[in-house]
Amino acid sequence: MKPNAPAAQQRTLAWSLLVAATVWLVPANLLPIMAVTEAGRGKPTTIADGIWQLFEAGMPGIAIIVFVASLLVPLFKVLVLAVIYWRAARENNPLLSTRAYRLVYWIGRWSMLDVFVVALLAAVVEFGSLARVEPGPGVLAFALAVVLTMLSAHAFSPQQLWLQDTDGADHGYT
Amino acid sequence: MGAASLRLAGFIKPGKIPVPLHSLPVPVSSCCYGNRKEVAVPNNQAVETMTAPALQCPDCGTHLAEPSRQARGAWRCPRCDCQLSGAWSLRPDSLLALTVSTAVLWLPALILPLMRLENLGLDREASLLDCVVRLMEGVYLPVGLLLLLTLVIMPAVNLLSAGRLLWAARAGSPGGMPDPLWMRMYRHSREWAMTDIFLLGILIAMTKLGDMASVTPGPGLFCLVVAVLLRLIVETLAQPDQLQRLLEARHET
Repeated sequence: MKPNAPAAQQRTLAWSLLVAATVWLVPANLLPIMAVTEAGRGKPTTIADGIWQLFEAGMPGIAIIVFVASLLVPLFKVLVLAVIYWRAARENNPLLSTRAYRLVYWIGRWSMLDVFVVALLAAVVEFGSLARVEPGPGVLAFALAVVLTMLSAHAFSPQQLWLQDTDGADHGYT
Repeated sequence: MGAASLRLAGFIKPGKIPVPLHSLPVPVSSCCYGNRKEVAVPNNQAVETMTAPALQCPDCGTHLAEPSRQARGAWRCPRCDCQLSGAWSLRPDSLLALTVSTAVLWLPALILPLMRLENLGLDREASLLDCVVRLMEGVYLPVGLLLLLTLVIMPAVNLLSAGRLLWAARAGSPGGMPDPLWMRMYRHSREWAMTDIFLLGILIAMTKLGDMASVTPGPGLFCLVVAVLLRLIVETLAQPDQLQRLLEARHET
């Protein structure tokens, strides 16, 4: 029996959830997350459109927050987790990886921001035929991608990064 | 080899901290205080006698001796820099009071309108529950359920579990150790309750709507802001590991 067989199993689960999240990220960014209907004419918006609209409306601060939370963080999170999982089998800098894991674990929640904004707009802007906001299929894919990345990070335990550490003699597991 | 390797890989999740020290054949290094960044106390130097209460680092699994009460500052694991205890001592009575006031504010935050939108003589209000219900329609049901989980169920679980654990952690509270399920619920709800993110979402939605209609914040928004702030205070001060140790200390005798 390999000494870290359950760790490998854990990584398999984490990897598969991460791959699923990556797959869902594609439609999340390409499909419209909501459609604004004004005076009968519908206008679908993707995540990138929404950020651009905020820029054009003269709110660069808010635009940057949305850009970081809904475009940068999901991509960054998937990449960092992939690097951590890839290196975990023969980890040589566990401290760095553990720090990266902690960072990614806590910023991942903030990607839900876009889903909340769509829900709020759809609930508030409902003036019959004058103006409406309808959620788009992109929001479904986006929510799935965020939840799957969070679950992937959950499936991975940072303790396995420390198994190969040479200072681990005081681990109690020799 | 087989049994040892199983134990090696059977990662002890946070929450199952106490490992009887006398059963371990190895020395125990001690936690370091404050924000010192040094890693890995050489294990043959920091040998302590097996009398100090033990804890295990949830992130790297190192067994550590609990430092004495006199020192100040946050404890960090010397090996992986994981924060094991907050810089402040945990006062269950005041935190329980904060939790109760959060619970009082939480119901109006759910049902009162968050904002009011006026456009061409029409006006419309929406509360937090309206947002959840709006996405429960049709194919967006999974998103609606996710919103229900992160904005309604998990914050409620957080309030209940924090209340139950803090109640048990008070000096002289009757009853024994609370079920470990409460601690698990508390840990999960800290991560999955996302009202703080929802608050930022409200800010963004309001600025987006600002140019097409006049937006006025509603009473629900006020309750939500205060409830989120109080919850943040409770969460920062009641770290799960610290609370667990306090509970164990209270119910030992």
